[in-house]
Amino acid sequence: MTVRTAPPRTARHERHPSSVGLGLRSAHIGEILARRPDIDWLEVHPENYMHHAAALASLTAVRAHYPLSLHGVALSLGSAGPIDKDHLLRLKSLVDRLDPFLVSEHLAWTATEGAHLNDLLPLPYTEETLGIVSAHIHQTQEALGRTILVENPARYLRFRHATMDEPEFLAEMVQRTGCGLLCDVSNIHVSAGNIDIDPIAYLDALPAASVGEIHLAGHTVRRVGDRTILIDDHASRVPDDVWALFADGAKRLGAPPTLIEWDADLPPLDVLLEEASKARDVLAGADGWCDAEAF
Amino acid sequence: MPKLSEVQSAVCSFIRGGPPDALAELIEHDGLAPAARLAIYRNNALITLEAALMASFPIACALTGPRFFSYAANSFIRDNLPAEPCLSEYGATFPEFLASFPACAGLPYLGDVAKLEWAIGRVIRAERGRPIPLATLAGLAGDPAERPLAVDPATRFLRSAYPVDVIWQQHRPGSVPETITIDTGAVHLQVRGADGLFIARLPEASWILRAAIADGARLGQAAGAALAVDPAFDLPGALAALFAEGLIVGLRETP
Repeated sequence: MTVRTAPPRTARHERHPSSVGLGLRSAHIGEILARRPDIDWLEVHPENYMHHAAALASLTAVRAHYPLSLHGVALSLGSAGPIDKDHLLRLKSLVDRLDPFLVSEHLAWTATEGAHLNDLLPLPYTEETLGIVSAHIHQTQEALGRTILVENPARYLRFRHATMDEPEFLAEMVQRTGCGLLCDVSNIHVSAGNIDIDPIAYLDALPAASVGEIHLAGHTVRRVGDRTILIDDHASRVPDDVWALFADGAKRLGAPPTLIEWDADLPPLDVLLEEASKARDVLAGADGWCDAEAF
Repeated sequence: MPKLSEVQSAVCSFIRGGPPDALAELIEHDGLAPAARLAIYRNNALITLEAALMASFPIACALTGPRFFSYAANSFIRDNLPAEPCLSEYGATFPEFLASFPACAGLPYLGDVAKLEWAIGRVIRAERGRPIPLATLAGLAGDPAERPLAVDPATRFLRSAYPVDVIWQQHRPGSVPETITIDTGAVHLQVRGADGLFIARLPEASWILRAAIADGARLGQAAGAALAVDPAFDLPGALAALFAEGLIVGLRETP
């Protein structure tokens, strides 16, 4: 008989307070290696390095100079069907090779019945879903031998048969699996705009001590029918209202490592560094606030 | 209450182009029709997959024009959703789709250009093998003709009735297009990657020898196939060249 034990939670001291990272895209790898900009860490999608030996060699060179975070997009923790074991093995192999300080995935599903849709699709927040997601997180954490962070999605709809709201679901998922949370502040803002939730109440309901990382990104505002819809496209600067929500969130969540994500219409590296510098200033303020609270 | 598997199956059908009806009943209105909310996910998914095909087949896209490519890509996507989690691996069968897509009949070389692009994408991502010397063959206990050989994984072989290497080269960004004569006869290409990209035209017999070895044929079978098209084929010279070029990276077990 095997005894299943949850891996230990990410301890508070393992965090890198007030540290800011950049989402690293292949177009910037050469410049990062040549310039070695002042950035605390870098985050990549592991899928981009699973079948590309030359890209992995470049990333290994980057890893010699910066801590790395692996942010998966294709494990499909929320699939009703099984986790793709080959994909999990490939992820394990990258984790072993690159020794990332964070590994994260999404509260979403991307695959069903053998079709990999490559989009972070929405989950109904029910007991059944909670059981499935928790089992897949357990399986992942056991395979990797470490805890992972799980990110709240950008949402465009709510299911009628949901029995929990998202923060409740996340809190219960953390409780059952020992995983941490990746709080995407931009996704909270986008979801709040699209399905009428209160972003501050959402932040207050999160289990703050479990948040190991924050994400920030730009979005696009569209008119769909009679309604404004925010599309989470990671293709522009972080807008002012998201910076404001981040300042609130950073105070509530203890200024965890924060990432600037920018995946499409990639700007010059200096634009990303400006955004990172802004995030660092907000975190430094929030950190001071946390210290003052502590004493 | 619907089961999660049922919800996911319905979302997948919708993304493939099915009607939203039953699925929409599961979605809150929240000020926007559920079908419009679902369509945001479908658009995001289709845009991502189309962009992946465009990234893997930029020259096919240049040949057809982006609007037609988008039409062809979306026709392909709905019936050929990715079977693997990594987006870079999506599109292996897209060249065959283009070759048989009736709307592409005016570009008879399009499928083969796409095959070349797929081959290029594979070899530049592959990990290059470590070559073994010709002397390894001489040192084998059994008959070397009975052994299959392992070819450098950063290598692909393809042939076409059209000069797809020239078509590919002339449609790369920055190239100055010139008139290309497409009925110049079949080309036999070897595509190698890692440390750069090398596309070479080979004589037919050399190509047959190498492509057959890469396919897993025993050395003797591959040599026989090459000699069948060119009885004067210099087999010892061709074998020496195979090893000298670092194409052979190991021995496979006899099947």
